[in-house]
Amino acid sequence: MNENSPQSIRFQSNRVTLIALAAITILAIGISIYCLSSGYFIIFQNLFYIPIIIACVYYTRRGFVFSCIIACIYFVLTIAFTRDSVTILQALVRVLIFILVAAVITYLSLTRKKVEETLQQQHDHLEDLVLERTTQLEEDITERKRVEVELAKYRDHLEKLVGERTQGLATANERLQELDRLKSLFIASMSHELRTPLNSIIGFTGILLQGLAGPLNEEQQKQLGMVNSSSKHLLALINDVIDVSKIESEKIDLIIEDFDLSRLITEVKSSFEVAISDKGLLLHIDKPDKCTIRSDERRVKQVIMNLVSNAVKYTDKGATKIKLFQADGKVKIIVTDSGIGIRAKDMPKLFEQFSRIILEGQDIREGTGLGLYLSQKLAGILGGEIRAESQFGKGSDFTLTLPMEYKGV
Amino acid sequence: MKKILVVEDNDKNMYLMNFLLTKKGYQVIKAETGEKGVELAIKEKPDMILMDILLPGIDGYEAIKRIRESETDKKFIIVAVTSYAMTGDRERILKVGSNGYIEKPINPETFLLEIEKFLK
Repeated sequence: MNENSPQSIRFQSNRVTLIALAAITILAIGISIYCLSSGYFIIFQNLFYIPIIIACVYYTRRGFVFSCIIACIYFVLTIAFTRDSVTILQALVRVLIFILVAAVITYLSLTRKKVEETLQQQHDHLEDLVLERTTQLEEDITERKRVEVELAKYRDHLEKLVGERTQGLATANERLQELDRLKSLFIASMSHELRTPLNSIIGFTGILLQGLAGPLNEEQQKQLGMVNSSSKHLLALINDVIDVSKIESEKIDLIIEDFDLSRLITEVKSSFEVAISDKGLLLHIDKPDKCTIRSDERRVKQVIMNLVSNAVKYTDKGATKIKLFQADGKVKIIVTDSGIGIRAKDMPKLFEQFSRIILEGQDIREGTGLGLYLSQKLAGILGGEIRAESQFGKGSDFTLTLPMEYKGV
Repeated sequence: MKKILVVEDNDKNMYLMNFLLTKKGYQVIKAETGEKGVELAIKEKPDMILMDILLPGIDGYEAIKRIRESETDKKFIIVAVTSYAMTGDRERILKVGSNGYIEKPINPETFLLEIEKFLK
């Protein structure tokens, strides 16, 4: 490392400099001796110092040896050119001083060189370190760039994927909306088409049953009664399907007005009187004389009718009860029955669509499987809710809570 | 004898209403389209008009509107006969100028009672 340093290369390999130095030295010695013997200015007698000092500075130890040799040559030549003992003594003193000076300079040069070398070493070490770090950084940067490119590739790929998926979803969504629209349209027109013949069936069986078209025998009366009840069930089913379709396509129209809920419950009671007495049940009513609320009367009636209809349907003996009262700025209608009740495990399915809970050893009760689902949805639309509590085998409580005033949902 | 105009395109429904109404002793005038209904209303001046809403040609709303426009001194009793599916349009039925509505399917047990209520 030392030999490769720029300075050593400069001074060791440059022969021209060396030859020039030797020439200058010889010239300086010549002039010095000439000046010494001919008594010129003392400054010229010391000219030979210059190249020798240069040699000492740059060539240190070798320079010092070289200087000593030159000094000896100078002294020998001085003796050769002059016999004057004073001059010889002067030359001797000069040579001794010169050797001393050369030694000091050489020492200083050596020290300087050492310092320089140390500095150079440190410099080289630092340069190496910088180089190493630079290489490392370059490697890091390359790696980073590679990763960045890779990431960009992934990102582009992901963006493309997301774009494709979004497009796919949008198309699917459009198709679904179209299907939904078609479904609603289908149900609406089908329900109309289904209902038209049903109008005649219900109407004419009704006429026949009333005996308006002539007397019926007992069997005819019984069978026509079955036709009538089946057609009414079919009508209820169609009506429920229409309501579900309306609710699901959010096309339900509400007519909000003030009405007396107490009177409405009286109406509900009277429409169940036949069914209640047929089954030998009791229906108690517990309500204030007047209870005006602001809501959709028809829908509220539909929900209460459904709850009472269930209570009557699932109760074979005992009593059913409708209780109306106000609490916390809301109205509550509790429909209680002493019917078969609902198992705890069946409770979560209670308000689901088409979830008919079947019990072993029990007759399957006629129904659409939509009643409670619809009622709960309607109650929700009116800003209320239905809660059910039941003890299996003992009966159930269905509580409809409604706001006193409909305020939108 | 009270005169009742029935506007109904379905022949079976027409038969049903006609049967019940004549049984009770009303005189029934039949119209199968809205246009015919408007024409007969002006000509016959019935005591009551039973109007179906879904009709070929002009619908029940339009027919009621035209009948109301034709009125001079005599005010008709107009009752819309409409199916449950159309009850979302109850407000529209009333707004257009009918006195009320009877729901389809017609319940033979209550139909005549409702008619009497409107005629009072």
